[in-house]
Amino acid sequence: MWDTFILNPMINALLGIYGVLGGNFGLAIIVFTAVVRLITLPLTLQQQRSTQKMQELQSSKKWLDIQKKFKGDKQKLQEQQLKIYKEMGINPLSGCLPLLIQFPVIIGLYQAIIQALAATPVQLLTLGRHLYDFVSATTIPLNSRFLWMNLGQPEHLSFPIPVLTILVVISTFLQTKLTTPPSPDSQGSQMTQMMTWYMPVLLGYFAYTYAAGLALYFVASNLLAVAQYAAMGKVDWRKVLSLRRTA
Amino acid sequence: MRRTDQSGPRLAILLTVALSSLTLAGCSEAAGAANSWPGLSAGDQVIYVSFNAAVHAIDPASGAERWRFPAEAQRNVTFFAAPTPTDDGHVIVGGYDNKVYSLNAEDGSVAWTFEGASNRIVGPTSVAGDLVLVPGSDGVLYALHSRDGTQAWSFKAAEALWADPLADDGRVYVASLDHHIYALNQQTGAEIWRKDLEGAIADSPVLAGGRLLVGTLGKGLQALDPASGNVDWVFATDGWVWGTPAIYQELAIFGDVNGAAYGVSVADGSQVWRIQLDGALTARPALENGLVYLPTEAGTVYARHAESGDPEWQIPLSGKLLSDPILTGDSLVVASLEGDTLVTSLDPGTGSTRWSFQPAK
Repeated sequence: MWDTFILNPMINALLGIYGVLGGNFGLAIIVFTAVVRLITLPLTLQQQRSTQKMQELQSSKKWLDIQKKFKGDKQKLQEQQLKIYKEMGINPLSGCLPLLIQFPVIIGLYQAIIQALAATPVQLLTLGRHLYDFVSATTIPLNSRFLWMNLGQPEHLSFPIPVLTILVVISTFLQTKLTTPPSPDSQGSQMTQMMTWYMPVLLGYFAYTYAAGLALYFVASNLLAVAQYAAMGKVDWRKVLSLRRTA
Repeated sequence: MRRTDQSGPRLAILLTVALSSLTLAGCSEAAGAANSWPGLSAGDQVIYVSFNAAVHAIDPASGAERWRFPAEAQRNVTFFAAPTPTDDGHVIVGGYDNKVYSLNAEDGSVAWTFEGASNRIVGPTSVAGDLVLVPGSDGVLYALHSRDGTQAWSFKAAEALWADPLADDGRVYVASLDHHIYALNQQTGAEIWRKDLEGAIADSPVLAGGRLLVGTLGKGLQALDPASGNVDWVFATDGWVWGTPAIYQELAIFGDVNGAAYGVSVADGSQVWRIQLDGALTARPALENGLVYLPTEAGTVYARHAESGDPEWQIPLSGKLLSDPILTGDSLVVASLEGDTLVTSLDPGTGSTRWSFQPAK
């Protein structure tokens, strides 16, 4: 099921783009990332709208009044909050649904990149099973060279600076910092700050340990996300200079 | 302190953290899985198998381990290429640590190492006179002096070399994933000819009936003139031809990854027989006494009459049988990926198990 609906279409689309671009897998990853971002744009927009609506509600007088009024009665407070959600037609979990839908896409994309590069016999044998009939045998194996990298292997340099890992860490930090909405309370703010550090470290570890093709995807995805937010006028560049929350 | 309901965004953040952690765990697990199948070979009264952390020397009569190299597993040192025994009492094997090791066949101690490759060694090495030919995943064929592992010459292809080079009559034929087969001068490494077969080549060619037979990933089995590289005939297959054909009289016997096994005339590429088996065939079949032995990814060993493909016996084992089987002494030996045991010795007449070997942890 996963292979049929997620992985196989992704691998074959990636190989199709690779063929169109004249056998440049680095460019194919970047273009494919952009295409996936475009396809999931409605979900991204829905997630943003939902988050914005929640923020507006939580800054409203009505909301703040009930917080004050039912400060000591948690159950009553929740009842009132649900009532307001109902009145205003807001589902507090609606911001999560697009994220949940996007995760299989992101994980499928990781797998598609790794499997398409097929650097070992088991991987190549597995790749053969994912290919549609129209994919030409001449496509295999992919040219894994891109700039200074072998996309099928962790980054190896003649000098001891992991350039790609550093790019992943910086771009993830930028993306998290610039695109995570501000949280109106301190607990939410702490969580946002944790994410600002957790995600760059996590993806940096991925980039350093696994195939450079994956790291290239991270960089492309992060920069495209920032560009997408900037195009929508939602990026506050001042956030980059400060780790403190800007309301 | 003001408390507000942030369940939406907060849950989204928690989901991101949890799912990304799960992804990390999943990828780490995948990274720990075997990258290839075991490499199996036979020396003088010894069986060698390379798999993951070690090369094992096994007694062919009992299946007992004589030695393993390295004695203790080392980080980032793994082996999958079939070890190559030499006439001077060594066994040579390349690793995923980009190194080539010459080991003393008696005790597995290291005679020399070659560290000049820039990528892993997936394919088995070949011995040609006083040269050891090493196919590298960096696309380089390294010719080393067998006495000390120093480099005599090298040849660069465009893509990885996973197949053991074939040496014959002063020439070396080397197949590459770059779709080409190259004929080189054995003494100098100078290119004599190259031929684009339009499909990647994962295993080595074989000479039979004055032709060079090469299996390709997507372009069937092809027969070339070894003198010029010109293609004499092409036999189209349903799936990729991964393994080297075995030669029985005038027949090339091989399988594809869709599970079809073929008997094809070497003379003109016509099909003599075809049988459908239960899983992918990536191994070079073993041949003895008119029987051909075909192990499949589904874990079955088939014994078929080489002349007709008619059944003799078949037996299911555990795991995936993707490695080349070997016939040594009076036993058929197969290696398994993800099976209950790594190596199994069978009676070639009946398929009954004689012994199994599973490395101690």
